[in-house]
Amino acid sequence: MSLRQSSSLLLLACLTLPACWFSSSGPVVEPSRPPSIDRESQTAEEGVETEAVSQDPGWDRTAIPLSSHLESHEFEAARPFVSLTKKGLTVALVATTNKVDDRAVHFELSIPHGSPFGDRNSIAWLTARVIADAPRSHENKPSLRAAIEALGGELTLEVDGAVTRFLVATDQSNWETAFSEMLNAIGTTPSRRQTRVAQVLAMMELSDTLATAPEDGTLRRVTCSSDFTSFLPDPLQDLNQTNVAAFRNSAYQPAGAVLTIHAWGNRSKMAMRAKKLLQPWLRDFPDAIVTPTPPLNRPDGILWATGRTADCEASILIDVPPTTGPQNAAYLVLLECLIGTGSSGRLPRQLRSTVDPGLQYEIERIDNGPYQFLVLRTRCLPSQVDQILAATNAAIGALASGGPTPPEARLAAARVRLRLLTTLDTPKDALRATTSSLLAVPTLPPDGYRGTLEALQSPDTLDFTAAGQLLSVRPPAIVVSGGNPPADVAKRVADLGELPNVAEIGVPKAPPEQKRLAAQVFLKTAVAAIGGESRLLDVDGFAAKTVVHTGRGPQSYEMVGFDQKNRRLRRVRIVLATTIDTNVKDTVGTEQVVGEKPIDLDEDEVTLLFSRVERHPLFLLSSVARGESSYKLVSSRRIGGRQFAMLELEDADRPLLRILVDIESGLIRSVHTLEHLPGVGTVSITEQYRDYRNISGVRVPHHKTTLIDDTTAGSVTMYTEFRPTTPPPLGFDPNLLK
Amino acid sequence: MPCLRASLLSILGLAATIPAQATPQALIAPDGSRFLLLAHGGPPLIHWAVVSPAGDLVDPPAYPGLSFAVARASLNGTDTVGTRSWKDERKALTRIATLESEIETEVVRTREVPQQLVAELSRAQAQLAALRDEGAWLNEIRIAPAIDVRQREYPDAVLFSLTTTPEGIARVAWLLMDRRENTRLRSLKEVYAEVVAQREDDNRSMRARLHAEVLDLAFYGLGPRNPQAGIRPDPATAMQLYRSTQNPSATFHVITGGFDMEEMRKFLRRQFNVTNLDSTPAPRPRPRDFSRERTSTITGGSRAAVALGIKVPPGLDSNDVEIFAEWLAGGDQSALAIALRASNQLDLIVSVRTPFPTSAQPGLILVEVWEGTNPDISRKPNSILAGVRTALEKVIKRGPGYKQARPAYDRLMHRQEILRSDPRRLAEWLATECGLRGRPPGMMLGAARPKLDVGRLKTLVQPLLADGHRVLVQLEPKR
Repeated sequence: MSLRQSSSLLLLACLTLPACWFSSSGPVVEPSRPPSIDRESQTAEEGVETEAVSQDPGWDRTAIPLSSHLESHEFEAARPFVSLTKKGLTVALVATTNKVDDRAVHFELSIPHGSPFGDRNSIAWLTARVIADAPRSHENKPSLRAAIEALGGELTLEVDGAVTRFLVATDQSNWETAFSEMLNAIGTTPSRRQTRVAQVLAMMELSDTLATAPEDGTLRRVTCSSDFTSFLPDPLQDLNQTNVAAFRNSAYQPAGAVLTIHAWGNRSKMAMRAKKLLQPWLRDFPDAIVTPTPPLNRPDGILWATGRTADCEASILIDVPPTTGPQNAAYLVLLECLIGTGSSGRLPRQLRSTVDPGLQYEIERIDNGPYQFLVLRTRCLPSQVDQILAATNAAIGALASGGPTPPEARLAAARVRLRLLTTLDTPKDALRATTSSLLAVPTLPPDGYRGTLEALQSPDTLDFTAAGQLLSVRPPAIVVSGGNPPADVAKRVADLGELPNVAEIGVPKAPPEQKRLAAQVFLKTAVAAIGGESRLLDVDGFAAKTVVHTGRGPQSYEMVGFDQKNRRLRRVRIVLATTIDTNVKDTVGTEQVVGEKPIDLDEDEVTLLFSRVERHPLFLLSSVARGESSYKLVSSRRIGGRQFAMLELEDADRPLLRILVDIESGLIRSVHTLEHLPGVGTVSITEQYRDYRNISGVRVPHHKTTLIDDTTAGSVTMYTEFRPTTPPPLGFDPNLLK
Repeated sequence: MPCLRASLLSILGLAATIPAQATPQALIAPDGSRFLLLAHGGPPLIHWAVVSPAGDLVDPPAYPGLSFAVARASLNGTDTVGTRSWKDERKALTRIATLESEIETEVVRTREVPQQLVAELSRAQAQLAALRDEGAWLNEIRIAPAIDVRQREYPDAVLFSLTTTPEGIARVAWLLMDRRENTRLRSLKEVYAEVVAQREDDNRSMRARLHAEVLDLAFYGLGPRNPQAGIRPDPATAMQLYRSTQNPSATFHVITGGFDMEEMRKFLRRQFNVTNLDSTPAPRPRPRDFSRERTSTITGGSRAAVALGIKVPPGLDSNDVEIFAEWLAGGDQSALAIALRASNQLDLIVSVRTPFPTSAQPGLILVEVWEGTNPDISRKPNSILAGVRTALEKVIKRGPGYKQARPAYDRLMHRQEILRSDPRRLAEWLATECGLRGRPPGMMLGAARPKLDVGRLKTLVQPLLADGHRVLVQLEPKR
């Protein structure tokens, strides 16, 4: 036995004997203490300074020695090993530096949402919860999370404004099993039950969050989606399996996704193994080039969710780009000078001197795809919010134009360096840093911060001019929860509505019959508002003239005649010098550009044409009046100061269709549905109606905005004429309906 | 002898699993501070975690939550950090105390508010505020440099942790000692009010309420210890509590990272060599003696649940108890979960933790069974409780077999590997496991894996499950 082994054995024997050092269940051997306790002077030791003890008799202070610090050592991180796939997925391997235990494997799969609106209506969040937390009963499997925990692993789910991340930590012997489970869960089309289970779970957790920290909900709204007009629970509650399936189909693709693995071992071998395991998922997708993932574009200015409290929480949001390349060292140092330690930076000092010396702050970082938001949170009075924003802009302006002082830069550089080194030291942070870098610039392998760390060694040589320009190019936003904006500020504020009353956040577990009954109440109001049941029973067709504007394209003029009883539809559309005549009867139809041969429409195209006219509010409600359709209540929500009920059509043979009814007026304000477009796929359509006018005893909307797939793409239709029943209006060619 | 066996086991496992660079070392500094040091290579960083006892089991009965309040207030500075002049501050504090007393006397005597005295009090408070900077201590430590400076509160402990550099450690150590020895617990009244308000918020979480009820049934029997709003803690009591929970014997430090072990040992011996605090280990909670099952029902929330607190008799090996707990209720594949499904109790989420609370020796095994969210499954009231009882009987009858015990053991070992792979989490975990629970560091670092002995596990069924020494709390939702 060697000396090393025997001394190790001796040490270990001491360490593992339970009664040895620290357990109070057995006798504790207390070392003898030095006689110098309390106010007695100490003999000076090498490397130790002793503070002078106060002679004030009432001042009972223990003098604390100050020792010299430890020496640092050089460290160079290994570069991640990066490999691309034909399907656009990037695989990266990060080497662990941990010599305590080399058996753990961490991996993170990051999937971009692929939407400029971010996680709109929390669809990405719900989809991720369905994948992670809903039991896979159709395969007789537990949820992904339960499966990974059964292997002794951990699953963490994070969804930000640009990306969904599945982070798994597991043992080396189980990593391939865990990885395959994750791919299986991602690759499976979610069922209704799975969606429901995950939805209820997410609602419960959200309810808990909003009960204890409503400001977290507000911050999430703003940092996760550019459409933050809806309160967090409402849109989540409205989602269903179709939405989840549609989102999964569009977003959960390998192109642009990043898989990062943190482990010991041969990295290229592990990368090959990971790619092999990925094959069952990858093979369903076409080849694609790797594309960068943009962050969510956040708003500017003041955004305010009002509440009944006297004070409020204000969060200042500043963008932080990915830390790739040594040129970012200067920017990171500037940011650190700005925020500092939360109380020592330029911004906190400015806030204390110009707003309130008693303000306390917390600093947080929120991911935004390849970027981050730096968030400074503080509680304040509503009257201070505008001052806080002004002070923030002033602090940024001063730092950007004047740069930091040398002592400021040196302190800040030390902290930035510490933060970067810590990132390399912990698996989760190392994965995140590598992923963010690859999301931003997929073709540029990360360098393990080498260049940045080197640049930070000499903060006096950093060029702060370009960094200063970058800092001031995007003004910060301020997100406020609670209180009410003062009158002079209110007009500049983006209104996020009132903070939800937690008691009203229902977990939708009402039985179907109850939801149907609830829907009937609103439908009754809607029928009465649009003209009444007897009048609606007469509605069986219409004739209309419209002008349609589509983005920047030329406007088109249309004449449409629809006879519901005889299943006839005729539409004449004039665009520039072209006239297109569409003529449908029952299941047969043709479309003809005047002067050319007519083209036959197939059954799906005919069905689509009829479904478009039949989802006009007038026909939806006339169907209700005739008892031909029933709806269930999905939710009620507040939008723009008005209360709405969302109702869903109960018809398994039709695609999802929901209507939003204004509870007060009874008018249908929007219709939402899904359409399957040949060659395109399933798209979601939202039609918003306004300008209701009384025509022959029924109220008819004369303005329709059509939005496609939650984007701003779509059209505006203005009805210049509308006749709800035959005969057709004056100026309308009666021959069109022969 | 269990000690000898444990050390032999750890010796057998040592050479294969811990490289020389990552060998942990224990140190008791001259002032009595206890350290566990683990240099594991990697970047030049130091992760420092220090744990101290807190919570209902150390709080004075009149001031529940006070241990958390003093821990928070201690971050508001000392007599040199966070004040322009401690001498002037003391004078201002004395003046304020005098004025408050005079106002109180006057109000009682005349039943009117003495406006002049109130105005004077206001001025004195403003003078005091001008003398203080309560963010200074935290600011100083962050400048050291240090990042991820945080103080986390668990039901029965406070964990303070940070990450710094070898260049920054001297300043960090000085500040930690200064806080320990010379804190002034500034704004204690306001901080205590925050703790009270936060407890009320936390009680909105049904899980927290469930835990509080289990704790109360097992340890107190007086109902949940919720502090009254508006109560003012006595400063002397507060300081006494602070000293008893923060003195060197009561706290435990873990330092991990990339540093030279011998340099670190020398540094800590040089630095931690003075204290003015009495060495009093904090009290350890013990379950009450109860010879029958105790039950309780609470209502609220939207999901039904049952929590089972199983009393662990003293003298059992803690590793065996952990493996047993994992076998019993460690997730979807545990014995209890399987038995529940076999009894047609579907969509239930089973989990376990032990010991509960963390610092208790030996404490409880806490099993939780929560209703899932499958909308197709409806349940009658009390059905989960009935299901748990039936499932427990089956589990007792069958006992642990290798087929179920082995995966449970593996899960436990794998979870520990994951903790050890993250130096920051490792420091925090070691602080609670070794500092509060007295577990041997070598075992926590995987040097000597506990052995899976199914025979021994079987012997635990009687004392843990069959004899009925447990508390049962049922949570019925408001539907």
